[in-house]
Amino acid sequence: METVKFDLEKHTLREVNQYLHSDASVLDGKAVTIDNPNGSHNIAVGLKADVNVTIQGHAGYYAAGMNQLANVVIEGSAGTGVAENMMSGRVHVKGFASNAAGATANGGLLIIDGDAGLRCGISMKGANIVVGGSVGSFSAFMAQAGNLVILGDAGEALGDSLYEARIFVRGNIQSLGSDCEVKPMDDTAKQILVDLLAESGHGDVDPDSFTLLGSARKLYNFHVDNAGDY
Amino acid sequence: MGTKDQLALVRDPFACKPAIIAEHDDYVAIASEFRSLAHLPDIKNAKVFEPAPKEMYVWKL
Repeated sequence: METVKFDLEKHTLREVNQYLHSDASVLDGKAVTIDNPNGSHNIAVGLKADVNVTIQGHAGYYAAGMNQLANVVIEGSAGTGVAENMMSGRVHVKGFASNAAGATANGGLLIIDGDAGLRCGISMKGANIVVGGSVGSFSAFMAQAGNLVILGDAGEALGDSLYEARIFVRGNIQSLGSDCEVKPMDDTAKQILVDLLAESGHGDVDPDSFTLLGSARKLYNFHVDNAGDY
Repeated sequence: MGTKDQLALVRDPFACKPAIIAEHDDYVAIASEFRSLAHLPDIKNAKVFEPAPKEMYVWKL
């Protein structure tokens, strides 16, 4: 595999991102490494090719946002909005992620080895997110589709106003949000969990140690008795 | 909040305000994002983490 190296102490972020926006015929199958990211914002956003990108350090806000097809690895931590609005591909954060990780993501797989902050997976629309640590409050708020797997604990109001996303939690939950409830783990859900654990490097974790959460579907239509929950 | 020999930090109850800490043998640094810490000496060997909500962190000389 051909490797292309960038160093953000020598190249501008625009040079790096413009290269990463080259035609798929130029990028497909290539490996790109980015040294000294130093917390820069918007690294590797809007990728549309089957390219492997490694960010060798801590990334700033919106790293790998809007990703399609690409496989992005962040060797350090990620700032707010990592992989936000991802459509497909894979983003792997080896450290922790800040707020709104995977927000509104439509597809693809986001793996966070450490903790994720506030609002992880908020309004997710079909992506899969696996968090090796814990997530902050309001995670999966209004999540519409996809799966959020949390190996650690969850903060307050988990899954508030949830639609049809699944949430799997192994640790403690500080509180459930409105209309989020514990569901029996059916075979379909369990298989999804087993596959996601294997894909994200947690194949040794017992799927039976997770609780499945889903929507109670009581907020789908307006009802005056629920006025306080909207 | 800092005094001559102590530094203390409390984050808001939801960890909504951006905050990041770098702990190194020689210093403790607090900023809203890593970008501001990236050029500190030997930052690669610092322990970098986000403070938890409502938790009080105190460092003494």
